[in-house]
Amino acid sequence: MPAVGIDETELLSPTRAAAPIVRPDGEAFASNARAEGTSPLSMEEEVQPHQHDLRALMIAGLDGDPEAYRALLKRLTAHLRAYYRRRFAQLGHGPTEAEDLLQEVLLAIHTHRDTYDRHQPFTPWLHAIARYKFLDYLRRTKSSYRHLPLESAEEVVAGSDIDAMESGLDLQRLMLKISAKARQVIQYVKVEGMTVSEAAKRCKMSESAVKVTVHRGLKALAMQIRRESRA
Amino acid sequence: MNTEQLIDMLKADLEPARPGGLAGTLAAAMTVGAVAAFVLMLATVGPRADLESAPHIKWVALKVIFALSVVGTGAPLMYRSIRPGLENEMRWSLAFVPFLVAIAAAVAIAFAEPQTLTAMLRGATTISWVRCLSCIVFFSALPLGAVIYALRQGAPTRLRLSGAFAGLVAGGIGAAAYAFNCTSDSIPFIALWYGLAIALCAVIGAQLGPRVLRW
Repeated sequence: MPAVGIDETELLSPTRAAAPIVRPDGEAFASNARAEGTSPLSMEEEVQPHQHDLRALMIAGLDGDPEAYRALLKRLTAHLRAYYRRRFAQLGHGPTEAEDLLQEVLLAIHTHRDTYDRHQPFTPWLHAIARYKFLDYLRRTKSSYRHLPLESAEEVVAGSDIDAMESGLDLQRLMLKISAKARQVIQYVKVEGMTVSEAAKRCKMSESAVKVTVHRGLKALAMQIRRESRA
Repeated sequence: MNTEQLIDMLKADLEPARPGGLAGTLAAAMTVGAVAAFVLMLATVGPRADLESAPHIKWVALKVIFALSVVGTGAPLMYRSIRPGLENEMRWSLAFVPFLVAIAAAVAIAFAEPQTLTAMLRGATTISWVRCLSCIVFFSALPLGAVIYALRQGAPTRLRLSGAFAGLVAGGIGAAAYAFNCTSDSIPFIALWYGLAIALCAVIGAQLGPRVLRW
C-alpha cells in the first residue's frame, strides 16, 4: 500500500486545531471516549440487544458459519449506512459517498476480522473501525472536519437503514484491476454460487489455494476501492 | 456492484480465523528484528573486548535487562493498540515504568556519590553519549521495520500511538544489541543515555506512524 504522507501543518492549522476532534489518527478521541464511557448511557437498554446479537453473529462468523456471517454483514450494513449518512449529512455530503465508504468499511471489517477479540464487547471494535475509516476518508478527500460533534461507541449501532443506494464505485470495473486468477475464483464462488471445493476442482487448485486466492483478491480490491475514492 | 453483492462475495471468503495469529506475527517480527540488530552490532562496532570478565558481563546483563524491560512493557501495549476497541482503554503510561525505575536508581546513586556523578553521566570516553545515541537508533532501524510490517497486519486506529509503541519496542531491541558494545558502566549513564536513545526511537516511530500504518 502506498504510504501517503499527511501534511502536519495542515492538520495543525489554526482553524482546525480549534476543534478537538480533528486529529485523524484518533488521538483526540481518547479523552472523549473515556469520558463518555463513565457517564450513564441513556440509550443503553436500546443498544444492549444489538450488542449481544451482533457479537454472537460475529463469533459464529469467525468460527466459519457463512449464514451467520452474512446475517452479521447485513445488519452491519444497515447500521453503518445510517451512521455514515448521518455523519455525511452533517458535513453536507451525499448518500452516494456514504455508500462508497460503507463498502470500503465492509471490506475492511472482513479483512481485519481477526483483530476482534471474542472476549471483548463487539460494538467498540466496530465503532473504532467505522470511525477510523471515516476520519481516513475525510483526510484523504481533504474535507473539513470542523463541525463534527462528539460521539459515543453506541452511535454506530444506534440507527439502521436498509434503503440501499447504488454506490458511486464501479466494483465490476475495479475487479478488472486485480489478478485474473483471483477474479475468476471470486466470480465462480460469488456469481455461480459454487462451494470452495467445487471452485477448487474447476480451477484445478487446492481448496486452501482457492481460499488464499480469494482472500488476496479481496485485499487487493479493498486497496483499489481506497485508491478510487481518494481521487 | 451494489452492497448486497459485496456481502455475498465476502461470505465466500470465510475461513475460520486463527486465534493468536496476530500476536504470533508480532512476536516473530520482534525476534527477526532482534537477530538483525544483534548481527548488525557484530558486523559494525562488535562486542566489547573485555566481555569475558565477570564484572563486565554483569554490566552488559544490567543494560540488557533494562532494554528488555522496555520491550516487555511496550510489546503488550503495542499489541493492544492494533486491536480496535481496546486502544483507548489501555494504560499506555505503563510504558514509562522502566524509565522511571532507572531514573530513580540513578537519582539514588547521585545522592550517594555526588562527586562522581558527572563522570558517570559522561561515560567511558568523551564521545560515549554520541556513540550510545547513534548506535541505538541505528540498530533499532531494522527491528522498527519488522515491527511496523507486523503492525500493518492488525488494525491500528491510533496511528501515532501505535507508531510510538513500535519505536519504543524497536528502540529497546536496539539498546539490547548495543549493550554488548557499550563500555560506559554506570547506572546514571544507562538511565540518561539509553533512556534518551529509546525515547528518540519512540518519537521517530510516532512520526512515522500516520504515514506507514494507514490502511
